[in-house]
Amino acid sequence: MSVRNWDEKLLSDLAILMVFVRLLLYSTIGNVIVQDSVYTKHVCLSLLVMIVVVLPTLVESSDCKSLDICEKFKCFSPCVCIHLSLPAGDRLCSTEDCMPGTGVYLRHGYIYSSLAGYVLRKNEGEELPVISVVRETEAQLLPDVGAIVTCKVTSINPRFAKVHILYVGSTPLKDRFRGTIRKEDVRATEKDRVETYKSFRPGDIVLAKVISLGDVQSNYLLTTAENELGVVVAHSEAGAQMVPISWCEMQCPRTHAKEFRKVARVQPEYLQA
Amino acid sequence: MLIIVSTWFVYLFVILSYFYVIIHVVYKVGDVLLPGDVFSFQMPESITDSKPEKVVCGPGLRRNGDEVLVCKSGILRHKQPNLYWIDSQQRRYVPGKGESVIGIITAKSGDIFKVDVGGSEQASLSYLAFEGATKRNRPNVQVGDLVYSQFIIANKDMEPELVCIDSCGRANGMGVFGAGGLLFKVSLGLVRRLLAPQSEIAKDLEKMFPFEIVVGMNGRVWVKSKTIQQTLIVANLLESCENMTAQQRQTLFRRVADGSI
Repeated sequence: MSVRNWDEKLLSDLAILMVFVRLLLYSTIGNVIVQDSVYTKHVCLSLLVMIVVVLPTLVESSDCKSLDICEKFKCFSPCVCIHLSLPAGDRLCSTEDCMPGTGVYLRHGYIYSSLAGYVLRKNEGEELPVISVVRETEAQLLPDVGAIVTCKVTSINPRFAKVHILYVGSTPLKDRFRGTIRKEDVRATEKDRVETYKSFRPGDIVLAKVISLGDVQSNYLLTTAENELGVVVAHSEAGAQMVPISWCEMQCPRTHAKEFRKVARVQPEYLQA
Repeated sequence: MLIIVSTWFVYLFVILSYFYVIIHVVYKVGDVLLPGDVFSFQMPESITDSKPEKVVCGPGLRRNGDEVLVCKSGILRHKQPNLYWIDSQQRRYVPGKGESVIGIITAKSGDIFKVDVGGSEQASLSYLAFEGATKRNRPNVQVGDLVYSQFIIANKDMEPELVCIDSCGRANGMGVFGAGGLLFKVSLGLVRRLLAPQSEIAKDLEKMFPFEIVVGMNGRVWVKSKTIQQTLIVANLLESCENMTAQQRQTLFRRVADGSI
């Protein structure tokens, strides 16, 4: 259906509705009050109802050159995806004004919202501003293939280690994603002779790289098969934080006991005393 | 009086740590110590000057910076030249790598058996970890059987794993056993004493009558003799000679040997 037809249909529906409302009011109030005052009251009521219900649609149906009006209305009614009787979402503006971003779609030369959320308008210089609808004001950062993530080991198994991903790069995540480090992805050499118990322990903080996003049910697949990846912080069985002494050993400063881990070679500029 | 336990038991548990010793007469070898005691000890008489010495901490002792802490309650023992450990009573078994134990098969699932070893978790035993077992030739093991096997993975973070073969692939005495006989539980200390190379208890028992015995490090002992009566006698003797001195034990054994025919 074209935009014009949609507007006319709405207006015609409303007109029919108004007739019924008028009849109802007239029939209920008509008997009680003097004829003149009933008529005026009746007219005022119906006019008020018309203004409140019809005005938003009238505003939308005109080409809203300034988006400010639309945004003002967003305060009263947030961008709802689907109206009760309409197949389209909230219309934001036309393609001549803005470029579509995320959470919107194009239809018949206008931009509609497809999400329930907040309208974001970004000015990008000479080009048209980009309009998008987001659920939350801050964007969620997701681990991507090849990203370096910081994670915490939750459980180990002879075949793999399960981890919780805490940071992507240097941004903390709001939710904890799950990851798996398989036995053959722990290091690059002698993959079949790896023992998970000698590489990680529950509670260790590990730097890893994402190699796959995984399926619906499986977790992110991570690898530590590089010199710079591996265990960064680990606690000994006595409870003290251990000091790395080689790529495969860490020592507890209190008991001087050595434990095996796959240690990450952190660049000196990232180390803090 | 010291009951010296064999070296193999010590080396299984040893945590090596080195530190300098201050001559400080606080505890003597043979004292009862409790967890949290800071351990200082009297040097052996041969070394009287205050030269620094290397001391090896055995089970029950832990180094904490400059001092040695006691982690388990028990009696302090010493072995020449420089080994100290705490001899503690315990009945609850904690799996350790390399230990041979008696397990009971509780379930068969997929490629593994679930084995009860008396620890906090059940251990897993793979089908292929028997001598001569292949994917086609499965071992004849049923639920409820007794197996004598060794731990290859045993730590607090992972599920324990058992095998019935050694590193060369030979059974070496391990596997399913126990047609007949009696399985009973004793404390871990008695088991260690039984398994020591020059064990006096074992020597005394041998003089009684012939019997078969399998001793697992998890405190389980299996005995089989010619008659049920003799089997029960051996089981009762082992359970009762735990807290006896050598003298009392020998008197008891002699009395029983005279009494039985």
